[in-house]
Amino acid sequence: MLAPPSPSRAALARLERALLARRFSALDLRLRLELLAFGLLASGFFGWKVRIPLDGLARHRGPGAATAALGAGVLIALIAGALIAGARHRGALRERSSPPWLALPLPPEEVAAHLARVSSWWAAWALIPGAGLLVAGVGLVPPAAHVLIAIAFLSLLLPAGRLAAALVTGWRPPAGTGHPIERRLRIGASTSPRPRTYRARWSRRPAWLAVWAKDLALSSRPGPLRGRLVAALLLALVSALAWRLPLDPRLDGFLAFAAALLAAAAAAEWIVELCGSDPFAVLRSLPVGVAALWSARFASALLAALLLAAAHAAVRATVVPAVWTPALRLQLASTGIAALLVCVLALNYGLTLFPRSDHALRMLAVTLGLSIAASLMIPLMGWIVLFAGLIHSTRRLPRWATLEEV
Amino acid sequence: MLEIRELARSYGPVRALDGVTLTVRAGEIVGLLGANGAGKSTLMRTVAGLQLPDQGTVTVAGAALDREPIEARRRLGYAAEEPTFYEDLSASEFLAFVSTIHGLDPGEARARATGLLERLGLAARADEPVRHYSHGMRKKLSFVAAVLHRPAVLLCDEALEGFDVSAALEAKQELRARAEGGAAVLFSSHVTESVERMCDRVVVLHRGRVARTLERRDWGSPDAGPSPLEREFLGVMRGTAAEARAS
Repeated sequence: MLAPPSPSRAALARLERALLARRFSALDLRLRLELLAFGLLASGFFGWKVRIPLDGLARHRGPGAATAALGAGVLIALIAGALIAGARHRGALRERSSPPWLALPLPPEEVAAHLARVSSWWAAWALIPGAGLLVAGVGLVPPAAHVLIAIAFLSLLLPAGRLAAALVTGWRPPAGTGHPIERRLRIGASTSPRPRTYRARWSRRPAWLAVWAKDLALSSRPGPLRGRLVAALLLALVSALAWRLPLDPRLDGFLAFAAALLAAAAAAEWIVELCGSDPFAVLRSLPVGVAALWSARFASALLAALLLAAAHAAVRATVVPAVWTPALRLQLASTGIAALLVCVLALNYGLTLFPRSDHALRMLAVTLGLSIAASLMIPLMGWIVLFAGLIHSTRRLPRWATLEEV
Repeated sequence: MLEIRELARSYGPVRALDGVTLTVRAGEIVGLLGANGAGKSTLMRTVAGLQLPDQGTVTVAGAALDREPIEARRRLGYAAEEPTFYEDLSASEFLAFVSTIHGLDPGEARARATGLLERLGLAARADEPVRHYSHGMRKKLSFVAAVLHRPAVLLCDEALEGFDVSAALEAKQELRARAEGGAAVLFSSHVTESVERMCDRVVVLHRGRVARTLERRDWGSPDAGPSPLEREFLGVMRGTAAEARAS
């Protein structure tokens, strides 16, 4: 006979259900439909790209080879899901500096399992490529094997996420006594170094400039904002250095542009984080509107795009022959414009989904993913997707005034 | 000065505000009393513009909150029950930011902020990031930010809870000064003693409705100054300070 679950286990299970329901209800119907449409499109694109080589494999090497390839693809999707959950779990453990609920009489094993289950939900993102893969295999893989792979994928996805979270919890916890989860969660609470002091600069300036100065001040201090900014700056530098690779100059140019897009995405994440750093009650009770906030963050976006283009131009100028052909000028301009568009898209999402920067980051990732997928399908199609996202999000900007804290 | 007309707001099936109508005149401190869940914080948050009403209007010193939100907020100060801040800005940086957004004269705003921080006992730690502040210190900072620009309408949502005694007395003095200067103050609190001494009128909320409005004569407390215990405490504090100076 199975032992009944402990009261704390049952309470944590109820808490998990409530958390899940709350997160779902936080998305309005329109956003749910948009996310669903994005997910289906991305999944469909993934399936379409996989279907062609899988079909070739089935024709030339037989259904066995196609089944093995599909199994391998699904395994990679499972690992990707586990990695997402693990990364999220690592971030969540770092965020929790002084959890008062640790004082509750909960066994640490249950706390660890609860946190791992919550983090494992993030593995569900692997459903997008996983579903695409499974659909791609229809008719190419024997039905019995297909069903088995599908069942294995769906039943192992969340456990894989939990396993990754458990590994993160147990991986080199801080020294001390007790369960690793307790030692991890006590990190922030036990250290309180003498704080640095910051003197104010009292000046008269327009609201947008005050917001911009405040953004830059916050980005210069230890924390996630500075982390995102430093990552973007490093990526920008690396992308510019791609011009110096000892490869074919055209390949160098392509790699530099691709890396610049990565740097732009990192800068876009910084801008989303900036938008989410505004405390809701502070901002909404001050006489500041969406125009001032948008202008301040646009200044950051413009600065990021100009810095990126300038870094590329500076490094390219050191490459022999340093001839500024029209094609090269066009590429540098494209780099700057693409970076600006990506950052403005992030800014629009950050403001229209305020104060949920996590939703904004997800929307940004989905839109950029779709743009890349569209460009791979039809050259320059990605620009159209990017522009469409930009126009759509810009039209939603007036909604900022009616947003509420959930 | 502050006019609230037929304000209603629901959370799903729960009707938190059900047609609240009230006016706070210039120079008046109006207390807001009610049990937990009566709708006090919902009323405050709705008037502060943090959430939209389902129906009804709010007019702040002549500016309608729905039609001229920026202008209305310029005339409004809001000290929150659970204040939030930019955690990595220092208190002085936060106040400088607030003063810039309100378009205040930098020199004057700095002097006023320094004075308020000193009165509330925060001056020594004004340059530390807010992240390192205790609950009481955060409440004090929220209060200073709310009164910094001398708003025409001031909303205090359980604003003085968590203050130490001397800071609470200073804050009450500031509130009275604001009212004497012509501001309309809406003061929500669970502490009836504070409301009894501070307020000219009290509005009792019950289940999202105005159940009753009481005038000062209804509770018969003519003394609007510190209570006898507060006076004793102040005496002790001043005596200790004098001794410290002498030694």
